[in-house]
Amino acid sequence: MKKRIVALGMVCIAVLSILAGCSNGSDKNTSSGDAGTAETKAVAGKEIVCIMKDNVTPFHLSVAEGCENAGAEYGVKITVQAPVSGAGGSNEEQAQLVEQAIASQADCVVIVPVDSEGIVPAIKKLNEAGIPVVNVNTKIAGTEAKYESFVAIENYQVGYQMAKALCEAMEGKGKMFVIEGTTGAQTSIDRTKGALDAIGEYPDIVVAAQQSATYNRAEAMNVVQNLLQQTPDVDAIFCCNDEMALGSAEAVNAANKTGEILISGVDGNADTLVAISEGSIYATCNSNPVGQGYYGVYEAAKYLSEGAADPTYAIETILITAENVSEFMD
Amino acid sequence: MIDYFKKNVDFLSRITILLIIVAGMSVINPPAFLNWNNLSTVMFQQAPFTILMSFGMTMAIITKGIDKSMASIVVLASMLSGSYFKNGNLAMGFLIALAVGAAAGLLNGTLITRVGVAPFIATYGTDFIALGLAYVVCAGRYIYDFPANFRVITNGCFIPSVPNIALVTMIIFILLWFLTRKTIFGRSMYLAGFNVDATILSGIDAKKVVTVVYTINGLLAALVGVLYMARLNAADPNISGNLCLDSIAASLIGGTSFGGGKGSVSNAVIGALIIVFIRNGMNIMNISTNWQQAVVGFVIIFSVFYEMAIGRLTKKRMG
Repeated sequence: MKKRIVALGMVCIAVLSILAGCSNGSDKNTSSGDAGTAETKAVAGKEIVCIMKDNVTPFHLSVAEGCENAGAEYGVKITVQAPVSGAGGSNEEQAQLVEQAIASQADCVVIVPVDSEGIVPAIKKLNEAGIPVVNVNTKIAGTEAKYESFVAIENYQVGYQMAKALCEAMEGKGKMFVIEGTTGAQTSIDRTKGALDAIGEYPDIVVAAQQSATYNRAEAMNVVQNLLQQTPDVDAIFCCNDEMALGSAEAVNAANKTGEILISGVDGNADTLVAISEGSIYATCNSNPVGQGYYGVYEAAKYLSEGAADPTYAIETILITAENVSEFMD
Repeated sequence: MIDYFKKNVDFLSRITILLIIVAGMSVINPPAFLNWNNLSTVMFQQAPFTILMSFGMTMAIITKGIDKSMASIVVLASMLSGSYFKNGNLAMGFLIALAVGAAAGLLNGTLITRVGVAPFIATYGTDFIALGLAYVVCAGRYIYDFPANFRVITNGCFIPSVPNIALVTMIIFILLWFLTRKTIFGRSMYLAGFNVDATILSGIDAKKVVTVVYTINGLLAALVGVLYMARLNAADPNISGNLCLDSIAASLIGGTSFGGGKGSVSNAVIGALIIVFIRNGMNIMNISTNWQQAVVGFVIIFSVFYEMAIGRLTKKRMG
């Protein structure tokens, strides 16, 4: 009886997540749906293990949701795994999850690495075991570890785009903070580099401080609150993700400067959209996490059925400000 | 006067460390660091959370235990009570948060005193349970944007220019100081940490005392959860962040001994301030956040050496 209830619950969740997936990005899903039907027979019943970065950040939960949507569409068995050590995940736990996937003889592994360097040995084990790898979101470093496809937004481009939007809004002059994500994470390195390159194009804009807040909201609030002491007249804060943008917004609010300081994030989380509509955050972008997960599994299915996947699949992003935020809110 | 110094050498030496750090920061970057705005932000807005957490940690360590679970109780209490606060049902929110905290603390206390599990293992287990449940409850949906009448609990100023969070921390400090220093319960707590067998033989219900200590910790954690939610304007499962390690560090820097029976809540305040000022100063100097971790470690080790040196010095003088 208990098992039945659990099974029923799971079915409900699956159905709901499919419905949610359809309503989110219906145009993209249908276009890939055509490709899906051809593959359905070849990949049905295969098991794809999807290893996320963590099990708490809304972003990565959305990636997982995308994976499950695609899995349901292609009839493959999706097993979502993630480190349980909180936001930002842990490389050791991911390496263990990879080993489990090898032991359970998964047909393919879709992975969002916590640490682009640290994950290399684990990926090499997958290569040795002959299990194909699809890399999502954060790129695996170097050329030693092989993967069939890399599905992501161009993080450099996203950083560049967001910082440029801030610089434009600042009218090309003023002071800016750059708040980085977890040190060593490729997403943070690339976004920061993109941002700094964009800021470099404006000679009258100076980076007053550049610090990491480990992609964490509470951490960002403290860091920005401290930085505001040093540079109270800062004009804009570039953050490598939305969580940190929300933390920054609270720090700015605590200093009674809401609206005076422009803040940008990346991801397009629901909370951030509310903050943008209220005017406490200037901009974010939709990095389409559901799509990232969806196309990760899509490429995996493609490889399993055709023996080859697209080496890279770029997910498009859209700049979200107060002007168009309503289009993205439920 | 000299007697006072001898008695309080431990407390005074911690204040000295704090003053040295504050002075150091002030010399390096006076305009940004040494102004009332910065000092009050650190003391009244950032430090209270670490201070409240280290009260609990210090009390657990005094009873020769440790409470690894507090940070996760913070998260669980805030996740479970968040939606009530969001809907403006403050009383219900507080009730649920405190009930969660008390239940988790009682579980810790019972495991340690009645089942005989080592404090580290018991609270480590509770830590996992609480955080796991919090993740289940949250399921990726953060609660964001709380009503103003809730956020006032942390950010409002009942006394002008002193945020309520600081006021609450002061009240809790006075209560705990009185409880640990002036009551039979407090003396029993120190005794239980110093020598639990002797305490039981002398007719004190040491098990009950220790259980109450862990229950107080649970309540403190729940309170921190509610206050942090009001500060961050979100129920976020990641707020535990540095809280646990920082509170252990604050207790150690404050001179609480893992041998049990030694330490005080006032020392915990100083320990917590030292850590928060280090983090603040390094942010202001634009030093990478990664270094903060290393520096806090150095300060812990330094303060242990410092304590030993001071201890030897006072013994010589007395002898």
